[in-house]
Amino acid sequence: MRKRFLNIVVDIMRELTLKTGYPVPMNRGDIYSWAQDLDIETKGPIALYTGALYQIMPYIESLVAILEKVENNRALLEIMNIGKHLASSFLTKSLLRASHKRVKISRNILKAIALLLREADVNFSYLYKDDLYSGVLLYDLGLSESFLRQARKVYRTFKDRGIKKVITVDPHTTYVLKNVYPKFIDNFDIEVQSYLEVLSSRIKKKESKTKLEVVIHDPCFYARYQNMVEEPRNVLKASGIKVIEPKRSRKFTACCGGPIEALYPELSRKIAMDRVKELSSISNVIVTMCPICFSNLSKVKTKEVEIIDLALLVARVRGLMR
Amino acid sequence: MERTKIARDLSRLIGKNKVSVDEALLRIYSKDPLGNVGKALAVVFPISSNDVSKVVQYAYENDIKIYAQGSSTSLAGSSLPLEAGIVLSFERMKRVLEISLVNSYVFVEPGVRIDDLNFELASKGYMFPVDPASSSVATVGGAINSGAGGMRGAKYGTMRDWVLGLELVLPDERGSIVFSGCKTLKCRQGYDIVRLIVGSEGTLALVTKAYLKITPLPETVIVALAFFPKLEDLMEAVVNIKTQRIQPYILEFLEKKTAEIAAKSINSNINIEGHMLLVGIDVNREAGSRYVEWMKKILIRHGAREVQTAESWEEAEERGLFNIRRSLFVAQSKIAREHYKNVKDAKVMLLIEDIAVPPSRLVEAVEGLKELEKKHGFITMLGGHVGDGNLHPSIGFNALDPKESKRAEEWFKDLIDLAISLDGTVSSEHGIGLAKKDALRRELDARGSVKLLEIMGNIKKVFDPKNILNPGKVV
Amino acid sequence: MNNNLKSWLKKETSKCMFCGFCEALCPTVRFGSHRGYGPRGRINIVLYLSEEGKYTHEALNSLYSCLLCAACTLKCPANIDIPEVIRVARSLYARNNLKEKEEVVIEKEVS
Repeated sequence: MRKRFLNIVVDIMRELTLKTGYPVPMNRGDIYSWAQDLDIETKGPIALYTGALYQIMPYIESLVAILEKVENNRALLEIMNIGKHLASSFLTKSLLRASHKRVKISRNILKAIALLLREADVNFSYLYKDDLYSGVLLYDLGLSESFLRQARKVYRTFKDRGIKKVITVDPHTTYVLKNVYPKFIDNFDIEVQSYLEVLSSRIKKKESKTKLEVVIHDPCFYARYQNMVEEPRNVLKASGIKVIEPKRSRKFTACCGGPIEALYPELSRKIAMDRVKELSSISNVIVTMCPICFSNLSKVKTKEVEIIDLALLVARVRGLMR
Repeated sequence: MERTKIARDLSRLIGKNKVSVDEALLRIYSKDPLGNVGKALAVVFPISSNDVSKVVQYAYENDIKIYAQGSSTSLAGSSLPLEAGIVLSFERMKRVLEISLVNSYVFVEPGVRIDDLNFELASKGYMFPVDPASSSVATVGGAINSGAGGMRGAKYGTMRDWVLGLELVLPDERGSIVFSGCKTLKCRQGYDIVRLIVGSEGTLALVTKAYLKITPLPETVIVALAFFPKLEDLMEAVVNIKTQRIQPYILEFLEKKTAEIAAKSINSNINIEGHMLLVGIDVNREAGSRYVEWMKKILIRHGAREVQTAESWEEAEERGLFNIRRSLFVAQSKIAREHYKNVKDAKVMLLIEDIAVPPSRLVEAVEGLKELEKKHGFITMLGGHVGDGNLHPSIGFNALDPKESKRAEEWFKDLIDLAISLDGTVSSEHGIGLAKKDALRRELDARGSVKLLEIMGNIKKVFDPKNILNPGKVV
Repeated sequence: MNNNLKSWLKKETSKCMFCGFCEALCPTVRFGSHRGYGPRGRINIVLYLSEEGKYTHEALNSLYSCLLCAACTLKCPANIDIPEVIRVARSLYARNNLKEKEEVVIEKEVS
């Protein structure tokens, strides 16, 4: 049963990515709707590249809710297996609906990132319909060939649009572009920087009136894979927010459990609960900076605990968003 | 007996999700840090004493061997399923059942990790002081069965000093569940079965619950890190410290070259000006600076070159005074790996030894070890708990090279002779297991006490008449 | 090509000294049902697979339950790139069992 489940779930993600560009069924419009009223340039050598992970996560959450049910339900599993051949339409319309509220959070986070960059006088363009998924999930699952196909597509898009540098918004996309694309694509020549790196050196100091104290949750792919621990702290501190460190912090951070939420929902949940317990014992406001961490920790949090993405929190404190 | 039948029978007895005969899984429960590969037929994950009892009854009836495992970090081969048999892994029995400060004990299941236990105790200002280097993963049950010690051994002793009472499952027809020892510190319950079980390496009975003594965390610990160009001077300092009416919290030693390698492996900026001595003394905070000055004086008077001190444990952590000592294991493996970097098909093995000599004979021991290094040509890493005379010399060798393996064996033999000749012992805190059976015999022989082996053999028979518990180990 | 991947996996996993220190920081072994959910288990299962072992039920659980969070690498005295081993092992499985093609050049995979 487990083997079949694994094969089907992995297969669905691959098929969908190759056919639709995204590992879960969704409309392309959902990817860039967040930028609607921001009037970001469409052309320019420095582009904001979201890699679609923030936008995808609400759909993954719905998918996981379904998988939690089918994990032990053979018939439903087989239906999904057939469903994948009908690709997006079947799954989107009949099964997968992302929560409206959740979609809105992701939109706001991305909007906050763009506004923060703007506030720091960073010039950047946006890719809109060419803001493709990086394929990072395929890479993690060992689907190297499919990942390569997706990566080539992304790279070609960058080149076609004359992009020299991309600003990324989440740790997984940042890592895969910075460290993996150059291994897979010959002469990969796009400069990659996370928005936190960009902001860390450019954000203007601002005293905040409210004495806000938050506990920080470092994502593995920033803290351990890219040694990026000071940048998010700089951005928070520059905005007058007091950062409290949990017991497992910086390069010793503890994973949110998110990466296995589709294949091992129950185990993933236990890991998230353990981490939320640790973080919330320090502060009731937990700051994340990765869409996967945000999803997985939010799923198990109690009412008293608030989990908020770093960009959104900082943008609010700085009066850029409501 | 056939694997699938065992799985079917055991599943019926204790539940399907507690039994596995998955081939890949069996492989990992068949291995140990010495590089041995045993023969697990099934791995069982009990969650209660009753589960354990049922498995034992079944094994007794069907003449199947049982190997108890905690986290399989034994360096003596204690938990290897040597002959075909059931591995009983206690990893799911990891509850802390009760912490009683007024009774000075903690009541635990055997699968709890020592560090996890200490994490809980620390929130109440207490600790369980036995701290083997593997404490982040080592389980209480494993520590009981291997008679573990650690850095704090000179002050707090080893497992045998901290176990009050044990719930045991006996390898008899009924898988009897008994309780040996007391909940009280004082206990005269006839022959001391508890201390017989501590260090018995799963050969006599299965530990399913334990009452352990606990003790308050010291208010703080002052720390001094010193380097001595001359080994004799360092040992003199140790002797002096040990006669000053204090009992150091830790007293750790690293031989000069070893300290250099360890420091290099972590890019430490501390000057290694000789053999390293790390002293910690538990004190009240107010007394911190007084003790620091006093310790500094003693160390310098005895010829220490570089001395660094900290008035509290936190400060010592912050300044990285423990880092060199802690990196010993990483450094050991790094050196060994680098040594064989250019050898094709090398299987690099570390032999981490565990002798002890009376502290007054440590100088002779270190010199003897240096001679062995010359004689056998292995780079020897040397560190240990100098407060109690426990040394952990280690060598790396290529297990795929028969000549080198043979030489490593000879080094080991000479090492054992050295320990015995200095009135020491062949195993201080790692156990006998598979690796030290012959060494144990030689130690007892040298003391004219081989008869004791016969007695041990008979004790084994009394507990385990069908020889189903961890056969082939210890005796 | 499969053989190249396999021999790389074998070389890397053979470094494991079975000390188990990695298990202290691994989130999945703490809540998983056995040691196969920890780095030491995973590394030794991959070693077993690289020596023509079978992709059993638990071998797959071991491989695919890894978060790739890399906490274990902070503790590994043998300096094994544990997450990369897991990813490459998944890749090998995908090639043989998930109709994943073999176009990707080996150097890219394990450089």
